[in-house]
Amino acid sequence: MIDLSTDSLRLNWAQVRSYLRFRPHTGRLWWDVLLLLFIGALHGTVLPSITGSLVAIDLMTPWLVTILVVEKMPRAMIFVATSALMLETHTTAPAGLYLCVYWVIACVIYLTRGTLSWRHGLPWLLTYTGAQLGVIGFETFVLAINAGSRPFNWTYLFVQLCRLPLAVAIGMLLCRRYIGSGIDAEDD
Amino acid sequence: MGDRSKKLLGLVLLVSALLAPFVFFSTSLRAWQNPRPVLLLLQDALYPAERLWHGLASGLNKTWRHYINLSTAADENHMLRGHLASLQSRILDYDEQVQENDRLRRLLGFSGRSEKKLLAAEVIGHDDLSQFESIRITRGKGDGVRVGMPVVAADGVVGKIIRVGQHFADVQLLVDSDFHLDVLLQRTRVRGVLSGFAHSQCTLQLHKRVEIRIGDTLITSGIVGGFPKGLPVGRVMRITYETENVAQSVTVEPWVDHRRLEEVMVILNLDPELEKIAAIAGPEWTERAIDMQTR
Repeated sequence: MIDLSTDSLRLNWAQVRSYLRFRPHTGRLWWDVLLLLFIGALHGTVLPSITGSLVAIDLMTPWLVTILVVEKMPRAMIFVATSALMLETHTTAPAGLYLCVYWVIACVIYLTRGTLSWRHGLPWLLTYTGAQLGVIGFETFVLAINAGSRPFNWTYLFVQLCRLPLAVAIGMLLCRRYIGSGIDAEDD
Repeated sequence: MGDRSKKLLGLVLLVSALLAPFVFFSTSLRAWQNPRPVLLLLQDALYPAERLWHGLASGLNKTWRHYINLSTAADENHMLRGHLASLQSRILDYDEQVQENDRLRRLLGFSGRSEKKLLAAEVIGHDDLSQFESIRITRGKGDGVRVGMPVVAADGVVGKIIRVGQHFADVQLLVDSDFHLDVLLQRTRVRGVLSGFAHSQCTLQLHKRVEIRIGDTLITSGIVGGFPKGLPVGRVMRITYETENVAQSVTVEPWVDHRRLEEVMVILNLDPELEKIAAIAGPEWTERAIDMQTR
């Protein structure tokens, strides 16, 4: 028999509402993977058609970095592989580029996160900046190896200079719930 | 997890992070071409959402352009009528020249231009993050599209198929930094290899000094890559001289503006050399050869 009392409905609604929260880490692996796929679709399909070619918004890196800070390593590997595969099979980027750079970022975050206090904004800011610089730097290096100095011009510099603060700003929005409370390496 | 295990895991991660770039750079540094179907599962799963978004966005765009933003339509209509009249008179002249050309070809014993099978496709996505330039089209393996097939539009060359899903295909654009195409300068018939350069430009490196002018048109040479000969590619924008004024670096603007592409045509013919082999060795062998070539 279905329980239709107010308390029961309120409880069910609370459970549904917990799924509707749009954030990188909910604690449920399958739901987090689905949200990552949704972010990948936004990143590869919706944003390029809105922003054009002069403004590149990287949603994937800040989303993934937030997951990597709070998630356990075996689970983090699933997110790294999924996001890298999504990017690589949607663009003409060399196979393994994002897998490599995201793996390095995941390892660095895992090795350093125990020594940082995540209840403050600064470690998040530095992590997002470092991760985005890593991605841009690696992409640029691979481009230079593949095509020499041909692709580098003022437009390229402008696009990358816009991409960095935008990604950091998105990251800072995503980590708001962890600043001031929540997880902290000192509490482990 | 004990302290010792944690230290060991940390060490393993550190070593793997240090080795990862070396492993990556030891690979071919090419995009996923013809990957195993399992690797394209995510893209196949997300394709309906991508199609839906494209439908919504293009619907809104069409509504704006066709029903709301009509302030310049009357002037444009007047101008186009003028263009149409002049083009109609040129078409009559052109038909005459085509017939004359065919007659002369037959007289000289040339074979006629082979008819290429074309497949129309809609563009539903564009990706140009960090100069890895590609578009996604609405035709896939089920429609007979294969990796390596040339893609063209009304204005000229667009790119080539780099990856094929069940219902979609990704096209590496002419302006991608890893794209190379054998071309001819239409006026002087000089050959060269055109490479992708930046968001809307390509570059042609010529190692000897040849006669070339700003505005010259480049066409496909038809020698390698499966592109038929004579397709318009782009026009010369800038010429710079290098190595004591001997070598020339030519900046080319493609005729096709990939940001405005809505429909493209896939040429369902592979490289002519591969077609010759297929005629002798059979289609199965050729499929395997293409797989090996593109992997």
